[in-house]
Amino acid sequence: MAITPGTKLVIKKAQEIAVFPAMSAQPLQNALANTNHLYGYFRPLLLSWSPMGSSPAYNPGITPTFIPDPVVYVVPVLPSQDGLHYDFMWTLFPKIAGGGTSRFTLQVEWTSGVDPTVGTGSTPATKWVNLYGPAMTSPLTDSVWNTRTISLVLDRTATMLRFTVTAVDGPYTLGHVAVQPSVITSITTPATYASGFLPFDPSFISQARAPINTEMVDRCKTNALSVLRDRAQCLASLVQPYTTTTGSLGGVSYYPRGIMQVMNGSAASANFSQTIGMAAAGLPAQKTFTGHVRYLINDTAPSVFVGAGTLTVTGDDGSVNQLSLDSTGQLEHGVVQVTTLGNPDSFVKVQVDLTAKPAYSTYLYALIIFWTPGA
Amino acid sequence: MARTANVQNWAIDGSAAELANHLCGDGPNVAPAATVVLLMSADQIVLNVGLSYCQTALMCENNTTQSGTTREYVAVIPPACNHGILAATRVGPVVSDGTIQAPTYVGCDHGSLLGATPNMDPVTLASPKEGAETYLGLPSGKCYFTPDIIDDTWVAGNPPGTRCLKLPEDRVATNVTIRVTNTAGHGLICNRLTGNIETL
Repeated sequence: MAITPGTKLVIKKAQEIAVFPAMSAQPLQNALANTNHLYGYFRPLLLSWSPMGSSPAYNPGITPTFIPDPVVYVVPVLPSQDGLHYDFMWTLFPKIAGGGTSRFTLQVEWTSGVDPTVGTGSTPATKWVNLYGPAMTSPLTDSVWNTRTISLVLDRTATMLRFTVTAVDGPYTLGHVAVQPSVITSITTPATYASGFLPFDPSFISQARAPINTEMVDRCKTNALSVLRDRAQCLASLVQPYTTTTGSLGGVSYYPRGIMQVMNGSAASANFSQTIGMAAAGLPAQKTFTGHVRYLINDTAPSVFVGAGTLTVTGDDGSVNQLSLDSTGQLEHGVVQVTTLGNPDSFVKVQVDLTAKPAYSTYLYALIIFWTPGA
Repeated sequence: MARTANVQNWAIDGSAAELANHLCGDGPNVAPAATVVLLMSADQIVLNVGLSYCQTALMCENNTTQSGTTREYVAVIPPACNHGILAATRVGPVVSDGTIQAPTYVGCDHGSLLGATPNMDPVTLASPKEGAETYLGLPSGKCYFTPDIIDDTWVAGNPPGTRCLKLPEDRVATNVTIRVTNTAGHGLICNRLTGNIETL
């Protein structure tokens, strides 16, 4: 049997509940139906990132530029355990002199491993597995923002996604890439989903004076929390084009691509640190925050660089937590936790600092902080 | 009565289950008085979860020399959230004390990376605060919100760049598109979008 979830929350006014209603289907049925709505329409952004960089000649996130080579981004991900469909959204701004046709080739690949340097294949633990494309978009309107949305099933074991954008016709800016659960208009019953969600069949208590049991009351909580905790939210993002190519300039090893990197120009100097990212994220009314950090950092030095960066998270109550970041060229993880004032406009600030060894540079491919409340 | 999203208070501590066990044991039926308590708890938990969206901090575009740079991105505001949205989109260059740190070793491969003319020019902020962040909405930048914003007037007394937004009460869509134009070439577009939530 399939259940159609409501398109919006139906919230009872307090006085509709707190007047000792007769034992009946309502308002419990309403509350349970709301959990179905959550499953179908609770759609936090799993990924939300804008490409960072400093060179318009190479980075499509700055000014509109024709970059005929594919631009690749490797981004950590923490998908739902239910194998949901996700909407992948690219926001692009083509700008060709005098207008004209603008087409793009888009591709998405995924892996369940931690090494982004592996080849392509069909075994996700050790290869990049194709998820979409490469496919060319229909021509986009010039000089306006265009959003292309594709719905794809994201495997629950995925650890990283590889986005490839190739301009076919001319200059463009890549403004934003977002991934969020697709709307679910039909929920299959009666299985309990891997997330812990158990769909509510309205026919169970649709009759007057139907029995009400604690399982159904408790299901309001377990269903709601299962959905909430299963759908990780992207609290912060910092993403740059992926490259492993290095060059040398003035005796310093660096990544020759228009990207932000921390470089240390003297072999005789000490390690050099630099802030590369600062931002603030809203956490309405949340008193505690636990962030699950996934990141990829690389550096041109020949060995692994432990402590190549620092992630600092500060709550609006002044609490601070830091996570030391290692440069391994592979997917790494950690946890940060702070408190906030718990106000409707509460927020946390995030800051990323990178360190470079003398005569080398350090480069951050991507850092994502995922929020899964209570987990 | 105003309800605000507060999962930490209501949902994580298992209020509904604990109340159920305490008041009703494990029996199949619940007394009317206990039902009131339980349903209030259960209803509130569902509401709180439905409103529990964070807003992503976007760290990007660390370049103070670029002018006219525009980004457009999608933010999520839950449908039940229809009143008193505050939005503050901020930009802040990499700074420590009001000026950008000596940028000798930060930049890109323009060929001047290691030379005397780095890609990032030092910029003194007009009113550095909190690590010298500044806010879009100042003359240096603009931000736009689409669709559904029916009131985007500036709010006196709030930090520069803060706008008070009111969304249509019958809104179903969750996505709000935000466009940021960086006309003065400050770097590092950030996002902070929070709101008061009233449903009753």
